[in-house]
Amino acid sequence: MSTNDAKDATPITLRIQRGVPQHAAAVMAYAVPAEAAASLLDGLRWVRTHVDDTLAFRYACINANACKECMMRLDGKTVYACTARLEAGGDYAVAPLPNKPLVRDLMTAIAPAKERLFNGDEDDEH
Amino acid sequence: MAEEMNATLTIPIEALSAEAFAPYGWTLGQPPSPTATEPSFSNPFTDFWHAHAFQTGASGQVEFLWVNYRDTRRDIGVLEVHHLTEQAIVPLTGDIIQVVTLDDAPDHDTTPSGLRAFRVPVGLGICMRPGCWHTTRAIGTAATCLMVTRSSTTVDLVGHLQQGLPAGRKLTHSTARAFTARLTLSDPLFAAALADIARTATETSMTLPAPLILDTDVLVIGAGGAGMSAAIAAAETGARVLLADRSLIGRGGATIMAQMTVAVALGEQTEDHWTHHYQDTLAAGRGLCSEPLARILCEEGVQAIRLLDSWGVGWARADGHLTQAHAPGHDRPRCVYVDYLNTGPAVAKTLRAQVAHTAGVQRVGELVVVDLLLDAERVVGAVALHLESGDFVLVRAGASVIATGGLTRLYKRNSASLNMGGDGFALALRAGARLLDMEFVQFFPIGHLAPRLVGFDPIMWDPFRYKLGGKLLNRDGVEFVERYGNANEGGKYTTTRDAATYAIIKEVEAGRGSPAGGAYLSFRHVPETTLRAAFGPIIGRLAAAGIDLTQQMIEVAPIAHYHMGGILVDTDLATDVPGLYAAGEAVGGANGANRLSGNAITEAVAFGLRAGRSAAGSTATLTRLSDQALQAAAAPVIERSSSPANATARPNYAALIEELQTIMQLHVGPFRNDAGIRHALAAIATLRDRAGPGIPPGGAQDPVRLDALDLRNMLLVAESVARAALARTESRGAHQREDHPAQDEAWTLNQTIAWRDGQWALATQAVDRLPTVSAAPDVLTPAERQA
Ligand SMILES: Cc1cc2nc3c(=O)[nH]c(=O)nc-3n(C[C@H](O)[C@H](O)[C@H](O)COP(=O)(O)OP(=O)(O)OC[C@H]3O[C@@H](n4cnc5c(N)ncnc54)[C@H](O)[C@@H]3O)c2cc1C
Ligand code: FES
Repeated sequence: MSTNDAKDATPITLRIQRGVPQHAAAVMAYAVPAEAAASLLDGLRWVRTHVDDTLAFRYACINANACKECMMRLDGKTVYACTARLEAGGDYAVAPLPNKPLVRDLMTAIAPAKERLFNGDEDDEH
Repeated sequence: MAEEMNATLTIPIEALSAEAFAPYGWTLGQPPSPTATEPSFSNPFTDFWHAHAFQTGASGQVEFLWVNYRDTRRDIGVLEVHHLTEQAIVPLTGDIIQVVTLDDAPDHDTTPSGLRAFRVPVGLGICMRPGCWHTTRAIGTAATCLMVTRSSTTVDLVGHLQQGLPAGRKLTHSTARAFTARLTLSDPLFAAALADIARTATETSMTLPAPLILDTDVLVIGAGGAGMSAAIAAAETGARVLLADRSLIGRGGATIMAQMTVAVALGEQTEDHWTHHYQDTLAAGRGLCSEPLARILCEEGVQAIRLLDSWGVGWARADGHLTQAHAPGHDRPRCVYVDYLNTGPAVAKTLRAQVAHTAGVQRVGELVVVDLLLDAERVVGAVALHLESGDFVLVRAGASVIATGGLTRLYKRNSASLNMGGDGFALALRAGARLLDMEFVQFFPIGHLAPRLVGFDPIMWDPFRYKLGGKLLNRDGVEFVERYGNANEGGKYTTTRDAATYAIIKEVEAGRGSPAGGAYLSFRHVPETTLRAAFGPIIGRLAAAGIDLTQQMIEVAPIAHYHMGGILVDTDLATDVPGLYAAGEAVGGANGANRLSGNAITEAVAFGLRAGRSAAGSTATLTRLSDQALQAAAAPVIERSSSPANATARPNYAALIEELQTIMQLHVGPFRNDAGIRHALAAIATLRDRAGPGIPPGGAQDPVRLDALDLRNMLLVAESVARAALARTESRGAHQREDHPAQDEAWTLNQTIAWRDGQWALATQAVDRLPTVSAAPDVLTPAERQA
């Protein structure tokens, strides 16, 4: 009666680039239970509640893939963390967007300048 | 602290002077001595003078290092020394204490003698000679400093720190016992430093750079449908508006996530009038709708939704008119939408563009409002944490509008975004405003549970059931709704939401739930052609996500979806605290005990427009608070929100939030009883103790600090829901009490809750009625009069 076949229980390894702009980046590896990380976002959230709550990444809507805040790099490809699927036993490199200013860990400055407190002069809207 | 005094060596902290520091090096920045021979210059615009000629002592580049000193401990356990190079430190953001000695201790375990400590204030600096043993302490909070050194020394130090090996420049480690010096408390300078620490904690940045003050006529908190509408309407009256969101503008809340429909009596599909919509709204609300608010929703909703149309939202059209779907609970086709499942994103995008085009609105994302500021019982602005920089910011506002959306993140199973922990309710409670009918949280019976599915609305199975029926099955593949007094569904969707929720929860309690703790929903008996005819593109997307509905069942369970309760307002959307307004899902009353589908977006936009106008209109004659008065009002808030919590002892706030969600789901969820709610209240109190009073300070986008702020709000708001749920001893709409299963006419009352001076105050009041709306012939269109 199960909706899912027997799950492979091998943990997933996330190698996450961490750091703030003033300091050299470090890569930290986290083992995440496969069933807790159907998506990359789920895996990152699991790390925060179970291992290391200082890990920073941006997201809002979690399920809807509507906010588009969760963009980052997974094995060198730009993905939405909430829709990127992970495989049991997989070993993944997770990094912030390379073309946006780093804020912290996986968080980059993605807001248009006009929607920031300290904005530039450029008119990015239209 | 006194207990360790006997073993400690206390070091007084001295003021920095060139003479006192001379054995160790040079001071930087003190005025040149009159006898100095080096060049200097002074005119009304500039002074400059020679401070020191730096020597590396060996080959190697001079290097500027940026150093954040965060060590605020009073124990000195480790000193370092550089034998060849000088080293300079210039504090930039906060004073530091530099501990020095020239005693080159023969072995590592001996406490060095001759330790002295100098306070180096911002504005001065020091340069140490080679051979000067030293360490640096920050005072209470981190201090960023400029360091000048020789670069190979740095390479050496980094290698040492990373590998724990003795560095070539000889670092001395001593055991704690043999070498534990303490900075003395009795020294007046250190007492002053401690006072500074205390002051930093209470006034935070006021002793450091004073927090930035933003001035505006109207502060709008939250940039969802309600907040963006409020900002536009307020600015159109000529007011200056600050539109703040803790997430990115237009993206953080429920508005952008809505996928279905928007209810409004446009009369495009069939004849309609807002009074019909109003009757349906009141019926769904089971006697508890504030009729004046429901009327605004239905009547002004018409202009609001047409306004969105004129701004190009792109409501679906066919045959020359807007298409209106017939959603459950409505007496006729009334619900507009944007194809395909794009209603919320289109509304959010349209409003965001419109806000950008509206002169006078300053949009600031990543600005989380932490508390409202009051002066003489009026809201005069807010304290906000600017996440992007990690700094507090003060907002001075003539009026403020809470448009922060709902609270469904309080529950383990929800359709919420990260930003829906109910901040606005906590802000209102702490400002002394009353909330209304907080016990009415709408649960959606067949929210998606498993397998994990992203990019789909978790309530998407409802339209599937409407069109295709589907079977609700338990763990054993048996249909079960008839066990709980419902008719056998026979492949149709006949069980009401309340009944389906009840049946699923009871089946799980009986141990017959699906693996993830819900029920199976099966469409396996539905031919693929029928599935594709009804939901063509979605069937494809599901297949791409690994779900083949012809083969596979999914699991569903009740999930928290919307909050009917909220901040008590009048028809100006004014709360009972002057200067404070509310709009959107944050407002209570319009939807009573249950919300009609499609009403929430209409509510957000219609209420937002009205609240923006009212708030702007209220600010004209106000005198503004001085900077000092504003800072004084903010000081306790900033203290509450940035008291340095002990980093090693602090809990994982994110994990505590999950615990709270589990408690709320189990005991204050779709079905409640007295014992369960009391259990939840006790658990909330325990969680509050475990969280402790501190909110750790942090830098840019520090997630721990945000969790701690969220947890504090969520505990307060959860408690308001639990207390209201405990008091209402009946079942009505979304509030179902197992121990009081019937609706009780004596409870046809609204319930208010306030939190003042740390005490909860619950009260009931008669529901606001409008005498004649539905009967009045003059509110009917000519077409309706004929009908
Ligand atoms: C998945 C889903 C589907 C839905 N589908 C429909 C539908 O089809 N039809 C319908 O009518 N309704 C639907 N609803 C309900 C509807 O979307 C919401 O009730 C409505 O959008 C609320 O709008 P709002 O502006 O009041 O709040 P939101 O859109 O939630 O916006 C609130 C904003 O406030 C910000 N905020 C919160 N706290 C703070 C703070 N302290 N400081 C600064 N900013 C803050 C948040 O980041 C957020 O951006 C749905 C809801 C969900 C969750
Ligand atoms: S979390 Fe919103 S799109 Fe990924």
